[in-house]
Amino acid sequence: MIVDLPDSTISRVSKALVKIREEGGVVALGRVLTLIIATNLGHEEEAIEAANEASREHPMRVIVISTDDEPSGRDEARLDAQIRVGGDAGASEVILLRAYGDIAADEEGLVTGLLLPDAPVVAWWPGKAPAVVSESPLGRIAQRRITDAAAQSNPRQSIIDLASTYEPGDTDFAWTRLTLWRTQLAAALDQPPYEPVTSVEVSGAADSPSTLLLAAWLKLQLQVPVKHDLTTRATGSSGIHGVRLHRPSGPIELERSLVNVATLSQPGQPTHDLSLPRRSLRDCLAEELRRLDPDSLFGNVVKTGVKQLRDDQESN
Amino acid sequence: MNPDSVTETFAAIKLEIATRRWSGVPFYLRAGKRLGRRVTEIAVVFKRVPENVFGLGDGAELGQNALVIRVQPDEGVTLRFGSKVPGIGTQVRDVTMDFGYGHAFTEASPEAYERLILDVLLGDPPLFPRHEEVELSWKILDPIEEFWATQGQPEQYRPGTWGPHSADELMARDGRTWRRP
Repeated sequence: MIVDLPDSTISRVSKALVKIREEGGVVALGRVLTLIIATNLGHEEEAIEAANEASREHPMRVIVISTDDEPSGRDEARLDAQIRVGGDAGASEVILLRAYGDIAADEEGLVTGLLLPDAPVVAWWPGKAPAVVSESPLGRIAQRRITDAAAQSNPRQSIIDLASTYEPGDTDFAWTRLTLWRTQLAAALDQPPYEPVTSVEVSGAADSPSTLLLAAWLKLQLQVPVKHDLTTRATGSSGIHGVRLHRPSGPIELERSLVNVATLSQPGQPTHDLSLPRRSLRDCLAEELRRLDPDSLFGNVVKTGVKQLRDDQESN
Repeated sequence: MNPDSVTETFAAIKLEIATRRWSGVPFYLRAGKRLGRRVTEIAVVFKRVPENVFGLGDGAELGQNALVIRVQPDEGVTLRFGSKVPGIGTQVRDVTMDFGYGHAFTEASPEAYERLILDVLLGDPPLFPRHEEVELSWKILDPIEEFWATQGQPEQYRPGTWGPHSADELMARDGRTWRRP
């Protein structure tokens, strides 16, 4: 069910929510968190779709604040709201707020009246994120703040900037996309021979912030020289291309040459083909919402790992 | 709002009851105009468990259990407690158990003033405070008001938020935070 409330106010929206709950029965029960999505006009649907699918795992209230990315300053203050429940909203309820003019500047005031009582708040910027997320109006009320470095104008720089602005609770999808890679690499090192890694090579697309984070993670955990190559190889695959861990008995290679399949080759073992697809927005969001406490490993990687990696490169 | 106005629109107060039974149980009251939401609630926030029995990872913390009596709107009672998230990991997430008055009777209860006006017409006094109660209430609050009047303009807060910064400090002094209603 979709309820349109053109030229509305927040109190009218919350009254409409209570009314829908009364009429529809259990709609508003059992929500575990509020997800605020801050996005621009016209870019809402992709994020809402991902949130709806993630809501099967985490029943939540989704508040989408959509503003003009280039405010002309002449727009009249106006709030168009839309409430989606039931079949149109997965296991969640979606409140879409399209704000124009002055009202768009007060993001905190817009959402305060709609937050679920007591429940934790997660803020997600699927597109351009504020410079210091934890100090932005939405970031201050949120327990977890999710950004996506890959969606910024300079993805690598935004990871480097994160090192100085990181606050516990911040997280980035560039890191979430690495989870499968990290699992495979850790599993490969769990098998004999248990030799120390002497050096590491990471290669990936030049615009992939995940490659940088993977290199930083390996640097932080292994404390060995990490070489990271940025290529614009014409294989059509974006993101991370491959990782090579050098050990005395020979290198472990995890290479993604096809779109969704990676090849793992180790000395003395047949090569394995592993399914290693680029993770969808839904998977990343669902994984991030599973834990609502700060991801301290990510904090260490952006604060310490990235710095160590860059110091290494400069000294070479 | 008139910029010269010195009329308070928000008040937060901590009260204690000086009996053995209620010692160590603070009562925090707050009321204000143009806050985040129009809502009247009584929340009993339970103490945290003294020890972290689940050995959660760093940064993980169990939420505080709470019993919330929603007076208005959406009358009902909510019990909030931690529950294990399904799966192999040990994670605890706060869940709610909800009673909605409106759901149980499929009939809306009359608005607050509807009842009052009916009682006025019937001459039925129990819903109205007696004049002794009103007098006594002012006897407690008058000194506070008189003190505030000497303090100049009260601290400002933005409409649509949950009050001024000093209200948060009141809670922070006791190592607590206001729950979001």
